[in-house]
Amino acid sequence: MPSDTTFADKPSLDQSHFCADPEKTKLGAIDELRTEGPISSFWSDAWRALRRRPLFWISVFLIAALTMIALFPGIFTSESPTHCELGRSMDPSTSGHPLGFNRQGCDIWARVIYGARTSMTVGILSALFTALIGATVGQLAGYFGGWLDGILGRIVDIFYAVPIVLASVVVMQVFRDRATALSVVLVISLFAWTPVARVARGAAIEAKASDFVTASKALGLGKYAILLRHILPNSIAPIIVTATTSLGTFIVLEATLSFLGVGLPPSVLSWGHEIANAQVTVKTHISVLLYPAGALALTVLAFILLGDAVRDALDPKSATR
Amino acid sequence: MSPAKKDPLLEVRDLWVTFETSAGPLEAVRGANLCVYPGQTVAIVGESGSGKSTLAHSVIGLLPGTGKVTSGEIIFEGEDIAHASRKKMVEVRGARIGMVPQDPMSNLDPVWRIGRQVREALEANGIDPSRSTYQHLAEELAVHVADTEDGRLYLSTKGRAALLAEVASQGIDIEKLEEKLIPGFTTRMEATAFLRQAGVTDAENLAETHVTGGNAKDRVTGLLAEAGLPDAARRARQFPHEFSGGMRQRTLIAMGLAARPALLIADEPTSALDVTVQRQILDHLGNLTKGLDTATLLITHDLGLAAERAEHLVVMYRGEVVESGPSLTILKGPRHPYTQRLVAAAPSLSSRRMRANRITTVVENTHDGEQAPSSASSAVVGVSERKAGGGTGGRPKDLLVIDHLTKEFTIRGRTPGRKAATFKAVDDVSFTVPHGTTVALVGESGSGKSTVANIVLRLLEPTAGRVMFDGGDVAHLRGKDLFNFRHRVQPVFQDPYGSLDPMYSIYRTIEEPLRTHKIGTKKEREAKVRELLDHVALPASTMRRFPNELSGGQRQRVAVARALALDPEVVVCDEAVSALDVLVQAQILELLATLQADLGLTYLFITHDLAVVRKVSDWVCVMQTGKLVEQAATEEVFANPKTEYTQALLDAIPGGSLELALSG
Amino acid sequence: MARYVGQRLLQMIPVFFGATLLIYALVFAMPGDPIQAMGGERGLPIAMANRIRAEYHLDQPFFVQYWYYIKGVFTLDLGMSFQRRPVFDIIAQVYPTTAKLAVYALAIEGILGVAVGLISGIRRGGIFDTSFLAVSLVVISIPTFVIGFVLQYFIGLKAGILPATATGGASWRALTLPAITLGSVSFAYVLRLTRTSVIETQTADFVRTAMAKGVTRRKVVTGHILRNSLIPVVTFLGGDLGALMGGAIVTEGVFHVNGIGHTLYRAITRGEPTTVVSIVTVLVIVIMIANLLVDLLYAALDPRIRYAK
Repeated sequence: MPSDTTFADKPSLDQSHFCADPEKTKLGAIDELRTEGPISSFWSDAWRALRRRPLFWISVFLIAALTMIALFPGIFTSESPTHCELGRSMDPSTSGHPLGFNRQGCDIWARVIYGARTSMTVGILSALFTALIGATVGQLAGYFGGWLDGILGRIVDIFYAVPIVLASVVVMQVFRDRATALSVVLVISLFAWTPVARVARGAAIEAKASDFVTASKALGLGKYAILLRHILPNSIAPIIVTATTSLGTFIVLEATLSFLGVGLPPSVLSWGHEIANAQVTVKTHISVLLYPAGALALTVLAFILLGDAVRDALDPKSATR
Repeated sequence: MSPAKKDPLLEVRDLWVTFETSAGPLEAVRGANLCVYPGQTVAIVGESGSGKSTLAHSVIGLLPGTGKVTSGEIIFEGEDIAHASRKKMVEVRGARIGMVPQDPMSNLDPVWRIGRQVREALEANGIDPSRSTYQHLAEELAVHVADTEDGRLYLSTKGRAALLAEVASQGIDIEKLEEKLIPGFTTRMEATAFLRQAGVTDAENLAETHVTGGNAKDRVTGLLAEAGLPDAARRARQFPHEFSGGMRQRTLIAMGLAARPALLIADEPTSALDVTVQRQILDHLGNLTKGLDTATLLITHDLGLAAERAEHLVVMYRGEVVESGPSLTILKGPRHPYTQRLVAAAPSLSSRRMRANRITTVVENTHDGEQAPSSASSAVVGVSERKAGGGTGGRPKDLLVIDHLTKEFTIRGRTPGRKAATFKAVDDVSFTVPHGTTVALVGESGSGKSTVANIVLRLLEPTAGRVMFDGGDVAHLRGKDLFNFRHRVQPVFQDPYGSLDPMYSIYRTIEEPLRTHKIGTKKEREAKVRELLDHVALPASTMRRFPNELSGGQRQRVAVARALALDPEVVVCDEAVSALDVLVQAQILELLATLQADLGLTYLFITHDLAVVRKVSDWVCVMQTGKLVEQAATEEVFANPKTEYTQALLDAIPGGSLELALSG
Repeated sequence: MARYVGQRLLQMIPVFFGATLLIYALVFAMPGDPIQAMGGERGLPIAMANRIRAEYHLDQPFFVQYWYYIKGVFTLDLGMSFQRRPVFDIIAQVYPTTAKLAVYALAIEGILGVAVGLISGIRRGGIFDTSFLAVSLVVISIPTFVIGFVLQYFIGLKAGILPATATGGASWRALTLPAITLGSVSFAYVLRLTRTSVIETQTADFVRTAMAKGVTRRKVVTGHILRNSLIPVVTFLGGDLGALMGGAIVTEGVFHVNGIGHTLYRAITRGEPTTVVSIVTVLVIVIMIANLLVDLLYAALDPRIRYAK
């Protein structure tokens, strides 16, 4: 071995033995451990990714505002939404009544404000319930497999074959005039849990096959303990993503049912009703229709943006930007 | 060949490649220089993250994502292609520079037939499928045939049938010719030679009449056959998912060489394959590129493989070329500290059982303790003669006895009603694992070695036979006994990314076994976790971290710590180091040896890598398609393998053939 | 392939019975007595009401009723509506219109959605991508009926480019606005799905390998990226047929299209269980057959499915 080594800057074209100057190319420790910096668990990483996104903050701001409106509508308008005088029918905006009046002579702004509660309740509760039902069914089917998976799979197929709008239109007949926001939530949850179930099942199957589950089995952890401590925590993210993304569609569904006259009774304020009532005058006063429609769209948009942001943060693979 | 006389085919000058990441620019390649002469094989060696693949991708202009050449030149055939136009690069790719990518599973379009994918390579580069542009085989045939332009026309499927019919009519046995005459591959010249050899009269005329050029389909068959794919015509009509890994890799080789490029970039072309397949494919690729005089830029993490296959080595470390030169020169006298480390750690180049410094005394002590007379009378069935693991005392007690073990899996019947087929994953396997030693179970994928591991761990039930642990049948364990068994036998798995729950902190991961077995108070458990981390040489600060913050080797250390948490007697390592870079692999192997010495552990070491076996094990069991084909002490297996299969496995160890050269 | 089709057909059987039973149970759990409702304010004479009940098997236990109903489905005898018209005839009369509308909508969302999604995915981050991503968000946020009213008002009434309603007959022209409305939300989903899928496929190893073969970018996009990206989109379109049928209720209402959605809606609000069940059953069968077709298309796109065991 040559001991009188001098180091060239680069290999020569004749391909003779070249060695970079070890002083300039210092070796690091093998498999160096870096423990500086903040701890990065799955959730803290997701949160860091989430808070960098402006659209996330926009949606959070909108949802916060909508929640305030839904909880305390009185702050945003002093007018009662049910105070209607036919004398003011279709009057344009005046002070205190920024959006004017509808055909019944009710204050449009007040009705839009008071309508938020229905949409928010239905959306959030339906998302919650579908997530619960879907996660339970999907996780059990995926984790235990076999005949249970077969049966649950067919049930999912059955619900998949019955379109949700058709089914809810039919079932809402059960409630008729006694329908409340909660009954709408129940009907939606009954029919809309299948997508979550599919996702939860897939996640369970994936987690089940992983070595960390086998390792837990090998150290004596029970079947159900593995499901609760390993499978479920690893499936939560896609379940949350699916639930958040579909939240907006539940709000639309409630409005659709109310619009069709099979959702909430007219006594309950819903943007769907407002739009249905505005139909009659759509040819002359489209704005009466556009105000509640705009509020509805804005709410749905807020949740869809949230869903997108959450998905990108929780599932970096599917990042759409 | 004296390279200095020619101009280099490829010259990379002071190349810098940068990726834009959210954490700022990342320099993947920093001032790399290398050159490749026509027909030469140059290997870039480095561990993952060394920038070797990035360098290769920049040569063919296919840097992923945000990667950009920030400075330097890539001079190929006299032109700088680092900053060439997109159009120019499309012309160069395939036609002048071919690529054989790394992972055969993901590199073929799943929705296209194999043949169409190969044909695409011909069409994209405007290759005339009717004739060859190279003539290399006729020389080897030692039959004089004039090299003419028409002599290079390929045989077509139709022509082959007609030709064989004519030969048969002369009363000559066509069986041999059938094998040799391949449509789209055999040229008129070659056909003439083959016919003459077979004793056909009028060979020249027959060849002229019937070998009149193949079409694209014939050529695809020919290319696949050339790449060593048997039954190529039928295979060309299949889809990638119907192919094994080796077959897919051959397809990728056929595509990479389809347009006869001057340079082939082979990016870890066989890392995903079984060793014996790996060897066949590398041999084949080597012969092909030699025959076609194609230069090869071989990217690999395996120094032994690189040195065996390439004339010139380029060693990369953290984006820089730290050493380059003729292969044997570097292997014999590595000058850079990094290369020295690599040479020292390469498992294929070392030949002795790795032992921790303290091992002798500790093992002896253990043996003294274990040599109670009772151990001899324990239920031992069908034990073969063998030497003791490492100590000098008598034979240690057999902790695990695998006794005529068989495991069948049922494959779901193709048609309902018909009896379901069974598949014997493990077929009558018997061996023993003495206390305090390491027994390696070696085999390729599908050999059933992991199934044995899972039965030993009682994650699977055997169909027949039994696994005795410390005198008791593992399969009969229920309830509390099973729970206690779990205490004593623990696994470490292969995939460092899958074996730790990403939702669990390192602390929670290592604490899980303790908590499951209700051991100690919270405080005691924390102390134990600290101790375990110390055992596996990780700082206590790792505790609050999560798996995604650790490297593969570090995760594997955590997995070892988790396995040790219950103070087990046996650790089953299922390919525990296979996914790691060699230096890290060496470190983990060292760690395992130290732990064995300190704690008197017994290892059942499952691996496909015989080179690793030599470093760690006392006794080797070789499995092939479910059967145990050979078992013996490690040195014995390496010195005189008794079966052909073991010999093939040994031959397949990359760099194995270099040992003679090195010791000389 | 034959095995795959057979398997899918077998799977359809439990789904068919499950779905029809589900619908039947839901409809007959409806409160109120539809027979009494037929007579309006005064109600029907008891004898007559009983006769009608017997005719519709409404006096029988639930599963017997279900049995008669399934028998009817298989003999194409869907019973009589309360207006004493065979339900089969009603469906036969309005179904073509809805089928036409659904195909129109499916074509719009499928072709436009995939085309826009493909371009967006390839030119990710560009102006085209950003604007269509914004458009898709807005479209998803607005309920179908609002989109319907807005299109009807601005394009049908104000601009007068296309007919605002389909009362004059279901010509392709008259169905244009309803089809756009019906397909709009799914268009947005198809766009987003295609885009994501294209972005993902673009980084696939086999795409890089194709480039390494010297194939031009354009050919890589049309040959490899598009086809592989379509696989999840086709799955979505299959499931989306059900949503289209649901959407038809709303859209046909807004544009006065005399289709099945509209008929169903009237039957529901009038409380005609036989008609409701029959129509929904027909829809479910159509959706199931469409799903089967989609699965076959899926198998055609993806050989891994075709040859699966």
